[in-house]
Amino acid sequence: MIPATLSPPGDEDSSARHDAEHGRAVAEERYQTLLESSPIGIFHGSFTGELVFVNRKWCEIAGRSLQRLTTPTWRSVIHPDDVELAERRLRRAFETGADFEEDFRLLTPLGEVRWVAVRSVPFSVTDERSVGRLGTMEDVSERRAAEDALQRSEELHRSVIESMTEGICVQAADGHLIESNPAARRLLGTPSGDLRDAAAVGADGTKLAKGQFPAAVALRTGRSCNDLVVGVQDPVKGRRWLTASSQPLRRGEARRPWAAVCTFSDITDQREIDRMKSDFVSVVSHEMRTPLTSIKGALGLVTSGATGELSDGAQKMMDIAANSTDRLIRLVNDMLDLARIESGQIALVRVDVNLGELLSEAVSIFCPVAEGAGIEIVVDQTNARVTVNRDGIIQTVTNLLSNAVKFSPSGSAVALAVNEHPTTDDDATIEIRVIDRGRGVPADQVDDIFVRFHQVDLSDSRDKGGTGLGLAICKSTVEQHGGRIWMEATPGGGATCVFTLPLSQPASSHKSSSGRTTDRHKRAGRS
Amino acid sequence: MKRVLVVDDDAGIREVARLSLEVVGGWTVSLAEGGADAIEEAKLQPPDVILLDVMMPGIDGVETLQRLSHDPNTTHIPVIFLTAMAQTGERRRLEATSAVGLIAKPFDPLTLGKSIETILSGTLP
Repeated sequence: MIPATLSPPGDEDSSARHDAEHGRAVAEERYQTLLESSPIGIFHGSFTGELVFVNRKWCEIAGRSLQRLTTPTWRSVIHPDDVELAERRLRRAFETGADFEEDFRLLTPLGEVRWVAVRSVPFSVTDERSVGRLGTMEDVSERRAAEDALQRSEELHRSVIESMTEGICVQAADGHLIESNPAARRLLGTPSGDLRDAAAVGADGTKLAKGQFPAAVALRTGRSCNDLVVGVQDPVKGRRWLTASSQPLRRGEARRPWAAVCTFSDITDQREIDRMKSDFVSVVSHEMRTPLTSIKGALGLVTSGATGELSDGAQKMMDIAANSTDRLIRLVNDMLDLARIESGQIALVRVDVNLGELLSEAVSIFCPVAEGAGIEIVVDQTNARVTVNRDGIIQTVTNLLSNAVKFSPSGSAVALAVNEHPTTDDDATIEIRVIDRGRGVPADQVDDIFVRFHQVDLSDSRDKGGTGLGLAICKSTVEQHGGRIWMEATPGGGATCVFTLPLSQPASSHKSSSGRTTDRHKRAGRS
Repeated sequence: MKRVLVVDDDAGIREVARLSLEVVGGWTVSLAEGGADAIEEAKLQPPDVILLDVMMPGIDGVETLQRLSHDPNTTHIPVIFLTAMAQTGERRRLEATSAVGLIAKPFDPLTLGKSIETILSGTLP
């Protein structure tokens, strides 16, 4: 401890004063340095809105120079649109003595708008005039701009989703509904807009199982699930038909989707039109078949001699009439087939089958015709499984074989090839190719050839006996299965017709247990 | 000789079927224009088989079949539908009835009799 008697009393007084003055000077200097070097604006404001003091940074943010700012007021720097609100808030803070915290805009003399975050606390010393508020001001223009951009983007996306006529619902991987739009709630007639709450049935009228909903399929398989026809019960309009699709949503590189978005639209009217069209074709076809039955029967009996001998000339004419009648009957049958397939009314009964066995069956049906034409059919082996409508795909294959054989020179071969790992489509697809060595299809007609009644050569319908609907039927059938069909040139001459079919989903393959599912999935994938 | 009753509202088809079955098939043929006629005729002279059109005015084919099978006098007569099978789902609807077979229109007049015999031989015990 230092004894108090070391210095004389007079000296002691002046030394203390000196120390105190020195201390004040240091404090003042420290204070000034801090104020001027501060990275945020600092101010001392009065009750009337005048700024008694502002630091350099404050001026910089406000876009003013210290010298020119003789009697700075908030009113002179705040954006005119924000002045009234800001002043009201400031006044209230003065009155209540509360802390103040607010964002508002400044307008610089150069016309630049800046967002600032202002905070202040009550400040008073004994001197009455110094009563006011002490605070900070930060330039937050960049943050506000980013927030505004985000909000605008959010508003845009929201308004797009809200105004869409398609229903949208988003389902999380754990099953809970994240979001739905007004169209979803309207289309489903449920307050949630969740397809699962809508007592939905499949195209065949049977209740959909939990795992059959598009979002559930997308979440389970990680693949999109497209164009599932679903019926829902509308409390006012009765049964409505929707087409629903779902896409898995992934974050970054994650393998498993975190959610699935399901979209659906109303196809009730479209189905009604399809049904009417189909009914119309059915009735017309029926009406045509009745007289055709008489004509075919009568001609058949006459040409066979059942009604007596004919002269050579009459026999020839009757044969022509009989052949033309047969062609007309084929045409009516094909039109009816096409109308049925295109209307999609017949809920396709699809089964999981071995594609190799299916192709062999189609070939064996068609073999007699090919043999008659002196053409060999070579078929690839495969054990791939597809979920298809058997009759539809057999008809497609026989139609394509018939086409290939028709245009092949006698003694040549038609190949039915299978490509289990096509590179053009995704990994869940298998490619079937019908390859002939005929005259080929001109490059400018490879697309038109699938259009009904299109013939490469106008004399073909006469000479080759086709109706011009065979390939259109194939196209409709393949597309209804979710596949594609197209025509290529066979290297070295001839035409190759290619169609794809989706491979059986591992879950729908009746034999695969959950343990084998991943296995099959990998094998079906591109190597 | 075996007797067949052909029921169709179309006169042309009736005549073609008659000629085809009599001349080519060697059957004895009687004809009816509609369901009511057919039921009457079947009771009067029960045939060995009835070839029955589906779409007919008045009592249609399916209704006619039902009435025939509910009548003890005609319930034993096998019925084969003759159909254009144009309506969606018609085939499935007809297969669900007690008919023993279906013959599609237009039929081949030279094999119509054979087709009937094939269907009947398949239904024998």
